[in-house]
Amino acid sequence: MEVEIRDLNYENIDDLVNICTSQSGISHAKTLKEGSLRKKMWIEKALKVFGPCAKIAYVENKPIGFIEFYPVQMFPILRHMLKDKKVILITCVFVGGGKRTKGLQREYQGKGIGSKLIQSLIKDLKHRRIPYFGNEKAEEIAIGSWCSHTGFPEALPRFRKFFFKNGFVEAPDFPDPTMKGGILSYKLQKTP
Amino acid sequence: MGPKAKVEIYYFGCCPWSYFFAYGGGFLDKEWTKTGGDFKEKLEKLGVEIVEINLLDNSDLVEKYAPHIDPYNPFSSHKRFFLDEKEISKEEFFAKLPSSKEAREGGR
Repeated sequence: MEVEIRDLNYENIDDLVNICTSQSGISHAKTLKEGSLRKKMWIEKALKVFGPCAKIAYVENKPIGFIEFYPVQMFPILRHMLKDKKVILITCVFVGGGKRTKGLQREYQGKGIGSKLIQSLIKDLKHRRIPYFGNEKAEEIAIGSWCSHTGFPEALPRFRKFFFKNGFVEAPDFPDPTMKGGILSYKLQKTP
Repeated sequence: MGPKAKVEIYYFGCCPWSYFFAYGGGFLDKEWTKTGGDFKEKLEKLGVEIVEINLLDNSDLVEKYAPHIDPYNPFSSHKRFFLDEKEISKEEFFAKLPSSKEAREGGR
């Protein structure tokens, strides 16, 4: 199975927006569809101010997964807590597929595609100069969603294992206004 | 004329589910998102003014009115309910809303 990872651009925004809401193959509530339109509007804006803010995985030209990420200063509350830190926050990682293989498992999950998305992001950020950070490189990637702050509770250990496998470590001192903890981080620029 | 009713919806613009949950959608309900979250339509039918606020675009408002939002959870959302520009609880808002509808219809 050949997996291709592509950066988000103005031409494939719909691929990103549709992945997380359209894969169950049933019609959704009107407000979920409207939420997808709001996401599209936001992505168009984010592309202008930040550049590619997601990577999409394709199998046989079909979008089946994505990773989405933003400078941490784009988030309320965190912008004060992290001030001038050059941190990229992952908001979502998802790999799906129309068919379910077992339980909630979807056909493209468990095949290393999520790791390919994360490794592509790490590789990219090690070199990418980010206008949002004064044209400097990001120093760290952090994730709270899908490993502690949201997600299905029974799946959290699996998600955490997934991030550990990809080089992330516990970051107990990472600012967290909720005091919930569980943030994981990956240092991009290793200190000597 | 009945009281002026307004609802402010705060949602993460990067997540369609945040918007959906903000309007009362259920994630893994029996209908799997087919029917949940459509109380927006109900509000519109009742003539309620709806103000939607993408919290990624309006950090100042979020910090002022929804400081408990979990910035690490893109599913998060927040709602504020107003009658005649006074903020009240969701329960009070919906308890008083039918009478405002009757008043509005009675005035036509």
